[in-house]
Amino acid sequence: MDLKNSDLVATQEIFSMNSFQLDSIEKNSVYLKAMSELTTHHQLRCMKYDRFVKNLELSLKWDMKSLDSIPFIPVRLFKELELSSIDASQIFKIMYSSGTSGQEPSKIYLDRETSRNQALILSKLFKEFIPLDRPPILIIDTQATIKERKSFSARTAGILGFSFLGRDATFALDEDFNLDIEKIQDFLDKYESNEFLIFGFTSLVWEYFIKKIDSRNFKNRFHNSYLLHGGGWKKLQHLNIDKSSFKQEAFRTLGTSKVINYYGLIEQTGSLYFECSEGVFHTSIFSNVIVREQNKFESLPIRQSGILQLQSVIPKSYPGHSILTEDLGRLHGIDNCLCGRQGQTFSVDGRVPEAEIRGCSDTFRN
Amino acid sequence: MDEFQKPKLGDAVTHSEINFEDIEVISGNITNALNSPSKLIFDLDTLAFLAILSREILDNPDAKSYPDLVSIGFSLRTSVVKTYTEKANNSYLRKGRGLVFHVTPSNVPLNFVYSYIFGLLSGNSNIVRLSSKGFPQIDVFVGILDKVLMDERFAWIRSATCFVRYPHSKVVTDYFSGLCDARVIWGGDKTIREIKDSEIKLRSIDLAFPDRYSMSLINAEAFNLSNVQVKNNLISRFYTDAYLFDQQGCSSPKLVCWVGQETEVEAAQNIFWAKLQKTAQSRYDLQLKSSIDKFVDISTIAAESSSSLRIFMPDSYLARIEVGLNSALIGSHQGQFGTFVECSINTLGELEGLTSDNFQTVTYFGFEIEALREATLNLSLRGVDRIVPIGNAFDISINWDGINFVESLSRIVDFV
Repeated sequence: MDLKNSDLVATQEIFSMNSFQLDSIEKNSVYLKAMSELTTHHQLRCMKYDRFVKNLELSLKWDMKSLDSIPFIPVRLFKELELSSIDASQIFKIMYSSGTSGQEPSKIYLDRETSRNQALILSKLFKEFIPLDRPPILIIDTQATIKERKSFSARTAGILGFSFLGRDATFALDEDFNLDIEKIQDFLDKYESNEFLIFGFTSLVWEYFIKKIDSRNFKNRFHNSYLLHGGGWKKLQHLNIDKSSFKQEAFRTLGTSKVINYYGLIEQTGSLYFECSEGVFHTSIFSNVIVREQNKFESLPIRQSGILQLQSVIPKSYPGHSILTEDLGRLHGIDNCLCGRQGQTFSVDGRVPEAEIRGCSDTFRN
Repeated sequence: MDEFQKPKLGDAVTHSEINFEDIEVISGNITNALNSPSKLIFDLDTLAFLAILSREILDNPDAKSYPDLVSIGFSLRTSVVKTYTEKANNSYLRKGRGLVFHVTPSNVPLNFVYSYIFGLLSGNSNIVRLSSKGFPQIDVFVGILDKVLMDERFAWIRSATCFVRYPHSKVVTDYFSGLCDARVIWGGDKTIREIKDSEIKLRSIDLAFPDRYSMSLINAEAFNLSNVQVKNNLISRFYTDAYLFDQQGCSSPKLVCWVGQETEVEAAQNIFWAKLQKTAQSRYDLQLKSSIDKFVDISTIAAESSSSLRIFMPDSYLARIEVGLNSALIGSHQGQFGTFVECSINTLGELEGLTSDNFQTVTYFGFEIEALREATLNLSLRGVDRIVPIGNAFDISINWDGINFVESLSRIVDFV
């Protein structure tokens, strides 16, 4: 019982829009329709999701009358359960995201349409923040990362997604995470005179690139680059590296101030949040952010820190259009960013901290 | 650590294979523990020692911030220990088996103290392996213990006491296992299997305490008829049983079974849960991660459920999963941070078929103990080792998981 495109009317309408075209009032009305449509769509096609909604809708007041009363599924459920809204015959690929070590990976079921829409939206958003058309791309990672295709990490997703938007993707690190100086020099010889893209996972960019590159040898050779990086700051937190020191160091060693951070969930691939010139993440017409408190999971007003919920119009083949993350963050504003884009702005404060042990379930490990 | 002498017993592992540097001795001395003689059960010096230890704990200002430590202080008072002596079969002359090797759990910080005390009361020398998780109340306890053990009267106890920590090492576990006369293992099923991989002597015994499941049994009519104080007191006691240790002890109730007619049960549920929720809101320190873990758990159940289940989650402090009597969640679902599976029966007779082998504690309200005794006698109940009033779930006693520690850890010297 494949749905025709026309069955997800509002969702389709949104796909054809420009990323930052509508203000929040206009957006919310069409977005609410899209979210309701997608919820119903998944309820009809994924029995587990339907039960999840029906069993919890009274407790959590999911009446779908506003964006914050659309059901939200905890992100870990994609690790615990197999949640798919397509028949086995429609599966185009399954993304296994390697989560925190020791956990089951997320299993994300994609059909061709959802996979295509991931690439489409990523490309639309990319263009809004990085004014380069198919730039040469230097990847701060090792080729081995994308060879392990069975386990699909956020790193793999980022590398594949962005390589697709650029050209001549070149891996800057060898298998032991050492700088491959020769390759980097070749890359620069070819491309340094025009603008190009450097992309990598935040902690890798810091540890294996910014900290290792000898700026004397590469004096001014990176000043034409955009440095795009995403993924957790957790590894850098203990080194006391925050956003501004990251940028300062990037400028000092690479000579570029075009440093762009992004945030996203592997469970909502394509639906990324790029940081604008004001240093905050932006929602687009394709996404929406809600911040919730922990007691009743009620939504919080602007500036209060809480659990981030992410909504995206992309997931059609699996019920991931509205996900409660395990990240903390806060909204900064709506339609008022000085960068000129419409939509919400927010920041991410990090992962929900591990609970303190007071007597916990895991038994004696010897 | 002290110069290690060749132990008097056993040869399971030779001395040279073990890296004794890996063994952190928290209290006592390994050599002394290995060489300490056994005593009669309920030795008078041991009873005197417990009385003093109890007083020292209850008088210690640092101990006051740890309810579980205070509770140990109370349970070592002479009046309580006397009930232990009455519970053990004393018609024979009984002596300790010798050396007891205790492997204690990490889910209840001071559980090891009980295991150790029961080892002493049975006249044994004790090597107690503590979990690698550090809890501050452990340090407070060990400080008090070491002080009491300075007394020369307690020389035997001092030599019969050794607490150790060591990282995963089959060699060390083999070593202590090969020397002990009884091994007490607390922990998850996996841990117990792992420890049992280390052989004990042919005549040695194992007492294993794997994960268990516990429930509460509430007479709906009796609850409805009680006055407000009784209700509030009950809720407070239930709260302690359930939320202490984040509901993760073996004796924490995971299932609430109501007994009564439908309308009675419904009336009781409404009041009981609303009051419990309020109590938890004001007393429970709910951590953000716990809220999320609980939501993930409830969501998983919601998604995998059949239709015969109803979930109520008024807020993150309380989640209830109302199920039919044939639900697979009964006896298996390990709720945490205030997550309860709930069912109802008309009469106690329906308990038959509800419980399974892994049921440990039934806490109750609104029944005469005689009625419960009779039901237990007449029904073919599986599992269920303890039936205690709501609020007493964690009153660990010399009888635990269906065995009597002192009887099991001692041997009979028969005179004819």
